[in-house]
Amino acid sequence: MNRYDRPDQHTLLINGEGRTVFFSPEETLLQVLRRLGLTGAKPGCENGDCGACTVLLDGVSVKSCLVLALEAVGHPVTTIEGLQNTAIQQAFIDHGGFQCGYCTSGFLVNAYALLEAHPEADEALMTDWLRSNLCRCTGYEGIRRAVTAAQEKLKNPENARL
Amino acid sequence: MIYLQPATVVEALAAYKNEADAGRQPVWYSGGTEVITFMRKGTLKAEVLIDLKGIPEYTALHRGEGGWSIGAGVSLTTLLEAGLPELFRACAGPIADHTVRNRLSLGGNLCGRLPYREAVLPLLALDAQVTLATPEGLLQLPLREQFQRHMGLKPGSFLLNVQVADPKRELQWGAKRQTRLGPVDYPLVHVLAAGTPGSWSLYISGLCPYPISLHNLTDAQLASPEDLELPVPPQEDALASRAYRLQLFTLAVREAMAQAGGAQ
Repeated sequence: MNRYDRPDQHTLLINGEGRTVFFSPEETLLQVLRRLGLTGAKPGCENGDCGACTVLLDGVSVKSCLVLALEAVGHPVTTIEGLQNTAIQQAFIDHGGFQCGYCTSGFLVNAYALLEAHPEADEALMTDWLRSNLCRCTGYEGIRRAVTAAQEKLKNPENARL
Repeated sequence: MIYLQPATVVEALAAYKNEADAGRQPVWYSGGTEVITFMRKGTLKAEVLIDLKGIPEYTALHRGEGGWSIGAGVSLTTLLEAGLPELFRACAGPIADHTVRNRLSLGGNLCGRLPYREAVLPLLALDAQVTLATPEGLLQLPLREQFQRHMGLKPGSFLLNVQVADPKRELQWGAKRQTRLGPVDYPLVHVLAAGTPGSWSLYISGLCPYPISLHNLTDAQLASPEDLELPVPPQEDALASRAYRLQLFTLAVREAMAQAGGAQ
C-alpha cells in the first residue's frame, strides 16, 4: 500500500514532459501546476464550479482544483500550454472565443476533450459538456462559434489533428 | 495529512482500523469532488485520506446476464455512457456538470455529505443491491434496507459495489428535476415516479432534508399530489420556501406521472 505522509518529491508527466516537483499530500493538482509555472489553469472558484482550472488527466477533462496532485502521479496531464498550435486554439482566435480571457483555457481544454471524444457531437452534447465552464463576461456565443468552427474544420481529413 | 492508496479491500479496512487505533480520523476518498471542497472550506478535517480507487473491484463495471455490477468508484460519466437503464440516465445525468461527473463516483454521490444523493432515486426504483465492505466481511443487502435517509455506514465500512437488475418490462416511469438557477445546480425538487398503473412509488430528492420515497400509491392519490403525506416536512432555506418547494413538488409529480403514463 502506498503511503504519503509528508511533503516529498514526485514526478508528474505534464504535456509529454516529466516534471519533478516537491509537494504535500493535501495539495491539489491546480496548486502544483501553477507552482511549476503552468499558469494557464486558473484558480477561479477552487470549488469545482467555474471550470477555469480544467486540464486533461488520462485524456479526460477534470477540474484540477478537485484533484489531489498525488492522484496525477503516473497519469499523463495535459494543460492549456500543451495545446499550442491546435485547431481549437486557432478557432478561439478566429471566432472571438474569449473576452477577458480568464475562462478561456478551461473552455479550450474542455472543448478539445469534447472534439477528441465526440468529433460528431451534436448541439445537445456540446451544450452538456460546455455547461461545465462559466464565462463571467458571458461570451458564450463566441465560444460556441469557435467550437463549432473547429468541429467543421476537423471534418476535412487534411485537418485531422485537433 | 496522510494519503493512503490500498490495493485491496483487506488493506483498506486494515488501514482504516490502524489509523483510527492510532488516534487519527480517517476518511474514505473516492472521486474527491466533495472531500476536497469540504477540506478547502474547513468543514471537513481529514487527518488521513484512504483513496479506494486502487482497489480493482471498487472501480470495476460489468454487464452480466440480466443486469449490472457497478463498483462504487465508477464515475458518473462512465455509467452514463455505459448503457445503464434509461431511468438511471435520466436521474443521474443532471447531477453536477459533465467535467465534475468525470470524477464524481457513484459511491461518492450515495455516501457523501451533501443531502441530495440523487443517484439513489433510480437505484431504489430498480431494487438495487449493495455490497458493503465491513470489518466483519462483505455484506450484501438490498439498497432500500441500507439506505435510510443516508447510507448509514458504520465507521470503518465502505460501499464497495452496487448491483442493478434490468428493469422489469412492465415498469413505467417518469422524472422531473427542478432547480433554481439552471441545469447545473442542486435540485429544489427531483421526483422519480416509477411503477405500474395502480401501484406507484415516488422517489424524491431536494424536497426534504434527505431523499425520501413513498410507495403503493394509487393513480387517484397521485392525481392530487398536494394531499400526499410526507414522512418529514419539506425543507425551507435560502433557496426556496417550504410552500414554494411543495408547489414545485406538486407540479413535478404531475409531470413525472404524465411521462410515466399514469394519473396527471
